Amino acid sequence: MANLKGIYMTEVEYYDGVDWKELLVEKDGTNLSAYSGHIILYSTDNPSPAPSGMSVTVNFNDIRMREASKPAEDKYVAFHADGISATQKSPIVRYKIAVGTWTSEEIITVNQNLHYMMINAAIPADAYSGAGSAATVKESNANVALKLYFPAFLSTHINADAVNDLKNLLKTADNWSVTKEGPTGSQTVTPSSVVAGTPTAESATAYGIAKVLVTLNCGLTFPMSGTYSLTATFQSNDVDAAYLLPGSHSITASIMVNSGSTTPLIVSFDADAMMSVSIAGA
Amino acid sequence: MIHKHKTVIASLRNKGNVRVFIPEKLRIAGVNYVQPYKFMRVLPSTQPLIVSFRAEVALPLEILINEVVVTSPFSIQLIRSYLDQLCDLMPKSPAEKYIILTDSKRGDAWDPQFMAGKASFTAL
Repeated sequence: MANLKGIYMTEVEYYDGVDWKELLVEKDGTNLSAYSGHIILYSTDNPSPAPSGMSVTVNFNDIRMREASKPAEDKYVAFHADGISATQKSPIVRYKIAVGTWTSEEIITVNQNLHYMMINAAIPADAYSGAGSAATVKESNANVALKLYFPAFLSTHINADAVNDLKNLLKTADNWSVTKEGPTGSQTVTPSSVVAGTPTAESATAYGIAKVLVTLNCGLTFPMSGTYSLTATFQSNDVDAAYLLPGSHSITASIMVNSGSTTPLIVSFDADAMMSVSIAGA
Repeated sequence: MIHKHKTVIASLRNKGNVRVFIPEKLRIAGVNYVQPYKFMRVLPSTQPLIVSFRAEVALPLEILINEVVVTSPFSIQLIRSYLDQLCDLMPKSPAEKYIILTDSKRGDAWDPQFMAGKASFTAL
């Protein structure tokens, strides 16, 4: 098995809202190119057999960097005047992954496929505002469609495959949990299904270049009338802790005490009697 | 072997005009050796799209490495064929180890059909 020397990001670019730009990282006023250079994700002086899988970390506020003009490793930032704007919402980065294997010298192999990354995914103070969730429920066991907006991009910004990758990530029900707080305590459920709409750039500036409507269909119980608060948590695929989306959705339950009635006399020819029950609000 | 001050693999063209590379035979301290050549294809990958709410991102990484070691005459097409077959096999059972059981004989090495990549792997 080949010995692993290092793992790198290379040919790194970011989308500035109009076009892809070479990512320049900065330290003490000096810029380096993360396009022609290498962002170090992993490096060792003692190469050992490469595992089939591992997790590596990149911090765009503290990038470990190496480039031909600066062969010694040093630390840089991506957010600066000539790099990604600190005010840019949900910036998208694209890059290639490279692996260095060690024989008598380091041999770097680059996967020619572009990979994408949305960093600092931005959601305004209330992710649920204006999304159109129902404000009331009338059943004690209710199917609630909790709607929210999530930062996104259009296929014209990147490509249709990347949009599908984002929608598939959002549509995975296990990535979400919904918590209800109210008069009867709290309840946390995994949505029974998730629907991700078509991303739109309209009114999306607080999210970035686009936003997408996400509907979390959940079965929740409302044992008594009152006002309940719903929040959602999203587990992304960056191996980070689950993220509690800002804000909450308030929903009012109006539960009626019902009385049931059926046909006064039922005749059956076996021991199994079928009856129709009618329930009315009292 | 050393050719024009560089280490190279000796080669010549067979009847099918395919360039065939020939592993070097060595004799060290009275013992005969064949110089093996190792060919490696490395394919690192991660999720096609990663979403993070922070500037620090953890990437789940997969590293697929295919290696082929040859000790008998070979062509580039043959090595490519071996690596392609390994790529097909490895993702199905990455924990398995595969070796080449088909051992080319000298006569095979000069057969242009064989050099086009007819050899196969068997899983251990």
